[in-house]
Amino acid sequence: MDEWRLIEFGVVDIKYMMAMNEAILRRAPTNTVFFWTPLKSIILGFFQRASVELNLDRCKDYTIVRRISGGGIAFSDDRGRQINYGVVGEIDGARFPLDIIDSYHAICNVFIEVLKDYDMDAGFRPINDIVVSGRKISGNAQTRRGSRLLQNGTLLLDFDVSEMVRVLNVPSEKYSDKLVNSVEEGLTWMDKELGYPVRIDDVKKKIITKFEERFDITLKPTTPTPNEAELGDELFEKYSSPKWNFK
Amino acid sequence: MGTRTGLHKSRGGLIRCEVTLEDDRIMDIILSGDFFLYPEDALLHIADALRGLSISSRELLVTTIHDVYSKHEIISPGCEPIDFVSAIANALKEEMEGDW
Repeated sequence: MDEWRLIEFGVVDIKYMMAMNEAILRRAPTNTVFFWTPLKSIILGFFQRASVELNLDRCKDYTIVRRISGGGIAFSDDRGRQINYGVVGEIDGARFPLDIIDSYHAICNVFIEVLKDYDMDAGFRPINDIVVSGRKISGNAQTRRGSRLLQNGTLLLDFDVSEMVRVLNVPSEKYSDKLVNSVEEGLTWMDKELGYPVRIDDVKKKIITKFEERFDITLKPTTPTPNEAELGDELFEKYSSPKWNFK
Repeated sequence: MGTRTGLHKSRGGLIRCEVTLEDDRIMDIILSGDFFLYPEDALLHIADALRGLSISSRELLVTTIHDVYSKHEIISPGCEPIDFVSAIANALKEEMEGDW
């Protein structure tokens, strides 16, 4: 059975995490799954512009960073109740299909099965979302370099919708409880679906088990290689620069 | 004219375009949004190819973007060359003739 790496980064500076995402994509010695916990941070998609998407005056206590993959904002509040993951894999046409949507689906299926274990009506909504009863519970973003993919995503356990809407660039005349409600209608999170606060470690354990089952592998806990860590340190400068983050 | 902004919601995400014209030619254009496009750097080639083009023919804009897609092997799930042109058209509603 193949062995992949499993790295738990814990609560991290999101700029460091974006640097490590790219470092692992470029230098991972083998397929890798990793987790981190973001706090008070906003990750912009590659094609997004902070000045357009955000009310920057209201984001002063947030860490804002842009990632190398497309898609929309990944917002995290101060609750620490979301699981952020990354997968770096060789696009082999089997475990990770060449077709982009198929490869999203292959990874998202892990999370869909976890949610189904909690008796939720979870499914894949192309291009890159996981929904429960039609409401988004997980957003995912993928990029590719050569024969490798990097997919990031977030699974919500709890979520402060009004805080997210507060920092978005919504004209003040449009900001209202009604707007918060309409955003909230399109989203859901595990605690809301279950009616109780689920233990984050339990969910993570299930995700790890489902990865192992679905991909027929074992995940071996480890830390980044010196080679990855060195590149991560180098890239930290890029992900800390206004030129990159506020292009 | 100044810079105009247009939005277009494609199946693959929202496309935002900021375009500046001189006469009927695109002087500058910035594309942004929450879509996906691979390879990511190729979006700049689309903007480069559009600069200097006349907006009098929608067909020319679509063909130009198609050519960039072929040359750089661009893949953008749920988002076609025509979607970028729709964002441009939404920015330039006043300048567009009836044949748009």
